[in-house]
Formats: sequence, C-alpha cells, structure tokens
Amino acid sequence: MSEIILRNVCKEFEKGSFAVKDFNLDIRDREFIIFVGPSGCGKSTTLRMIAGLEDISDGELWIDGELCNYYEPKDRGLSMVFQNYALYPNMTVYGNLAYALKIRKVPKKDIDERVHKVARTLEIEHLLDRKPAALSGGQKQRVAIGSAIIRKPKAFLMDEPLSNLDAKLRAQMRIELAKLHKELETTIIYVTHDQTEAMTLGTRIVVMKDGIVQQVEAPIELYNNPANLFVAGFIGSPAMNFFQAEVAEEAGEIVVYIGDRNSGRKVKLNGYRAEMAKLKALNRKVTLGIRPEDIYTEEEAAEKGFENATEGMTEIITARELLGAEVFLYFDEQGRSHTARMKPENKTRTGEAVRLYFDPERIHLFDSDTEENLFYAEEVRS
Amino acid sequence: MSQTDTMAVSPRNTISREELLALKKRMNAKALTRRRLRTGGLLAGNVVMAFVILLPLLYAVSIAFMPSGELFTTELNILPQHPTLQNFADAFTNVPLLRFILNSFIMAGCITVGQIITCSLAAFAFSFLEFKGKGILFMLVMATMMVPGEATIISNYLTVGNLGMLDTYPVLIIPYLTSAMGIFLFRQFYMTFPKSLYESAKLDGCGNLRFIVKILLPLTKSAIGAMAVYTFINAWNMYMWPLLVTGSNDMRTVQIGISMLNSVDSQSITMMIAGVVMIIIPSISIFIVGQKQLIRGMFSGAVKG
Repeated sequence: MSEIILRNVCKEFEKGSFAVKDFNLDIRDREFIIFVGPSGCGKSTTLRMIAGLEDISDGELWIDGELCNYYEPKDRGLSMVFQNYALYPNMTVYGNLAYALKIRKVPKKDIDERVHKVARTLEIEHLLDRKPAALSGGQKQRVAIGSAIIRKPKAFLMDEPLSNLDAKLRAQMRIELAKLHKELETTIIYVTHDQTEAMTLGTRIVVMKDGIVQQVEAPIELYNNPANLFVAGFIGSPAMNFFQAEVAEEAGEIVVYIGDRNSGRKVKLNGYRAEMAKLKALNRKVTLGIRPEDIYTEEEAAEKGFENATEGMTEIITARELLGAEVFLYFDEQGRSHTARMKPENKTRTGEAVRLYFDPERIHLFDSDTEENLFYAEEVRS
Repeated sequence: MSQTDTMAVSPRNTISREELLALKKRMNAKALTRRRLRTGGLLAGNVVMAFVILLPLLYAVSIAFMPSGELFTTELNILPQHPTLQNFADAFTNVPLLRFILNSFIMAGCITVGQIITCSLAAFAFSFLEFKGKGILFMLVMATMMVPGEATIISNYLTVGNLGMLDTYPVLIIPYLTSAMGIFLFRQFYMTFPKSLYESAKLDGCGNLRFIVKILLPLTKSAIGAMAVYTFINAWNMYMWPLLVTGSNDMRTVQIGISMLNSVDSQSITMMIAGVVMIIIPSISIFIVGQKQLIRGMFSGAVKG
C-alpha cells in the first residue's frame, strides 16, 4: 500500500516567484504517474519535494496517511533513480546495490540474497564485480534501477531516467520499465519531457506548465480531450495543427471558418459540438486544432462521408516525409507550417497542390483568450 | 576501351613488395627527418634550460661533498676533486640536526593531516550544504588569504605567549590547522562532483559524515594528494613562526636549525650547504612522488573531464 497525496503544494524559490504552485494530486497505490512538461515547468522540483530533496514552501505532502513535509528523505521510504544514474564510482555494482541495505544494517546473508535476486531480475548478475566506469549507459541505468528497487520502497521516483540513453536502448528500457512496474506492483512517479515515454508508460499523466498543473488524465483521455491549447499542443507527435478560425451561424447551422468569414473554408459542426460552439463562441475568433491524422484527402473524406460537412482547403505541399508506415505532408497556412499524416500510398509530391479535409468530429476549438478547450468539460461528462 | 585495358594490366604486379616498401620509405624520408630534427632540437633546448635552472642546486650538492679547502681557491671547482662525507658528519655533530628533522616531520605531518581534515569538512559544507549566508561566509574565508601572515604574527605571538604555549609542539601546529587555500582547493574539486550522488546517498540513508568518509574522500584522492604535497612542503619550509615561538633545541625545526650552522665563530660554507642539501631532500622527494597528483589536483575543474 502506498498512497501519496499532494495538497496545494508550492515551491517558492524567491519571494513571489513560484516554481510550483498549488499542486494537487492523489496518487493511488500501484499507479504509474508521469509528470510531463517542457523544461523549467516544475516537474523535477515537484518530484524532489516528494523525495525530500527540496523543502516544501507551502502545502501538504501525505505518504500513506502520514504528513511528511518535514520527514528526512531517508525516512520517507521512497527511492529515486536519477538522470545521471548517481552510482557510487568507488564501489562495485554489488556494493552499489547493497549500500542502502548496509546502512540500514540488514544482515549480510539477506543482503547477499536480495542483491542476487535483483541482479537476476535486471539481468546484471554477471556485472556484480565491475565498477560503474566499466559499464555501458544501459547497464548503469539497470544498476541504478536495481539499487532503487532493492530497498522495497513505498514508491519509486524517477527523474528522466532514460534521457541519457540512445533512442534504441531507450525504447527497450521503456518496455522493461513497464514490465518491472507490473512485477513489482508499486507506485512509480516518473518525470520526463519525452511524451512517448509519458504516453506509453503512464497510467495517468500530469501535464505541467510554468509550475501549474494543466491536466491530469489517462494518456488516451489526454490525447483525445486536451483541457487547453497547451496540453493539445504538447501531447502528440507531430503536434496538433492550430488555425485561427471564427465561429458563425449560417442557415441555422454552426460552422467554423478557417481564417475569417471570407476565406470560404469552413467546417460544419454537429450535435453537442455545435451547441457548445454556439453557446461559448458564436461570432467570435477561436483557435481550431486538428491532429495530423484527422486530416484527409478528398477520396478519404468521401469514403468517410464528411466531405459535405467540411469544405476542403487547397494547399501546396512544402515537404514530404515518408516514414514507411505513414507519410507526413507539410503545408503552410496562416504563416505557420502544418502537418498532415497520410497513408503511405499517398503519392503527393512536394510542390503539388492537394485538397485537404478535416474530420468535423475530431476538431477542437480553443477560446482565444483563455485558451481553454470549448468541448472539454462536455466530453468528460458524456 | 583499349586504353583502359592496358592501364589495368600494365602497372599491376610489376613492382615487388620490397620495392613498394622502399618507395614508401623514400616518400616518407623527408618529413620524417624534419620531424626527428624538430624533436631533437626541442629536447636539446630543454636539457640545456633544465641544466641552467638546476645548476645552483647541483652545484650545492657538489659543494656539500667538497673539503672546504677546495671551495676557496682561485680556480673554479665545479666538481669535488676529493669527495668527502665530512661536511655531513660535521653538520650532525655541530647541531642536533636529527632532532630538528624529527621536529619538522612532526610539525609538517600534523599540519598536513589537520588541514586535510578541516579543509575537506569546511569545503563539504560550502559545496554540498545549503545554509543562510553561505556565500558571505565563503567570501570571508577567502578574504583571509589577502591578509599577509606577517601582519598578524605579533598578535598571534602575544596570544600564544599569554596562553603559555611557547616552545611546544602545539604552538607550532595549532595556528596552521586550517587554511583558506585548502578550503578553496577542496571546494573547487567538490563543485565538479555530481550533486545527485549526494542526494542519492541521502535517500539511501547515508548521513553527511558517512558520505564524506565512504564516498567523497575515496573519490577525491587526487585532491587530497595535491593538498598533502602542497601543505607539507609549505609547513616544512616555515621559518618565521617557528623561529619566533621556539627557543630550545628540543622544539626547533630544521629550517631554524640550519641557520644555526651559520655561527660567527665556526663558519664553514661547505658544512652549511651539506645541511641544506640534507633538509631539502624530504621536500624534493615528496614533490617527486606527488607531482602528478599535485598538478592534477591543482588543475582539476579547470577543464571538464
């Protein structure tokens, strides 16, 4: 059992400037929580506050029903994996794994047993006599994880543990981490700026910006129902495309004009989307967001049956990237570059004009002032 | 077509392996000679410079083995004609040189150990711990380096005099148990230390003292080595303070003792130099043993790596 609750947790480095502000989160037992956000958003600071490496300026931190604000790091029962591994260079792998237990005066026989068990789990048994300097990045990472799990902590805190590894190893370690989480059945709090890690590993993701939590949601919910413009733009790769747009009522139907009313390019809204747009933003400027995979060619749109609901936009393709299973088409609109994700059969070449259609059921509208998703609250309730 | 055919056939296999090697050697010869000349020139230049710089030292060693009659002649005797150990024997009999050397060893050894302990602890606080006024305190410590030792020597003397500590080992050692330079050196070294290692140790339940002893010190051996060599040589060469606070032969250090060889009624330059040669042996040998550490330690942190 390990439940970590953060109540209005703040970190104020200098008077009036908050690194983290009013952080509220209930982390349930065995959850894999991801803190994600751009650098400087306060995600690492929050993790370090939970670990006890930074003081909490204001708010409460509860671990398993105990108020832990002033507990020493070692008394919180948490263990941490650092970005640069933080292995003791003067000790062997065995020494590194055993160190925390040795300090806690665990009997030698038990230490030996546990070290070997952990080493077996992480497949580093053959490295036990080596010093960290003689290990590769991936092996060091395993040792670091090993010395974290050997203590059987209440929860693991991981601060960008994979960011020093190369892409291939990172993908492999990602899968192993997910496996490990299942095996160990403990809570993991994981900080990353890599959204692939966030999407694949997390049971819930906390998106942060400028020290403020933007949204806490399961990965797919976050992807489909971003709370605001920032989350929408941050989660997803390639990022969501944004266009200036305007909501208008035309012959009793709610339409969104891309650009302004004279552009002639519009998307018709249905059902509650139309209702929400009418209620919140009629005749107002909004930001329209659409993910690259929700943009279709004329044939595809006809096939899906929404070519009447949306007026296609003719765009000149500025670049084309074939990734094997998919192809990205880039086009410029409103002075910004946008991306459409197409099937690999799409033969459009750079410089060619193509008509693109937006799936009206998949567009998002964001308030120009508050940047909030106009459809967010409704969709969560439904 | 025919042209390419002939080109393909003719040059192949017409040159033997040995010939090819010889050809390559010839092609390399000019550049190789130039490189060897340059290396040789540099080496010769260095040897000459080193000889010029070392000449006084070497001449001193040479004089130490000369009978005094050989030194005071009109011709220049670089090397002793009749080498003798008499000068060394005289130096030992005229003053209790062994006792002085022992005193110096005790003093320099204690100062070295003391400084390593205090400086590493202070540097740990300045680099790893967070506390109010850390920057100002560190600046204060650094500022003490700007006060010349001579400026405080009288008041220090009066203090230890009032404490009744004159002419004892503690008075030689205690005032030098810490140094701003040492704190600075260790701090610079610790600054290059990844902070996450300290944090990780903290989460492992490792206290500050245990962290210093088990992790920090083993990993900063080269800084300790540099510090030890530097401090030992400095302490060994101390003159003013020991001269002031010691009076008896039992407490005198070797630097004072050696000046006692220079008495008005028994002046013998060869004997004095024999004494000097003996007492520079420890500092030179320590420098030779520790020079790698010294240079590495002094410059660590200057360049990443």
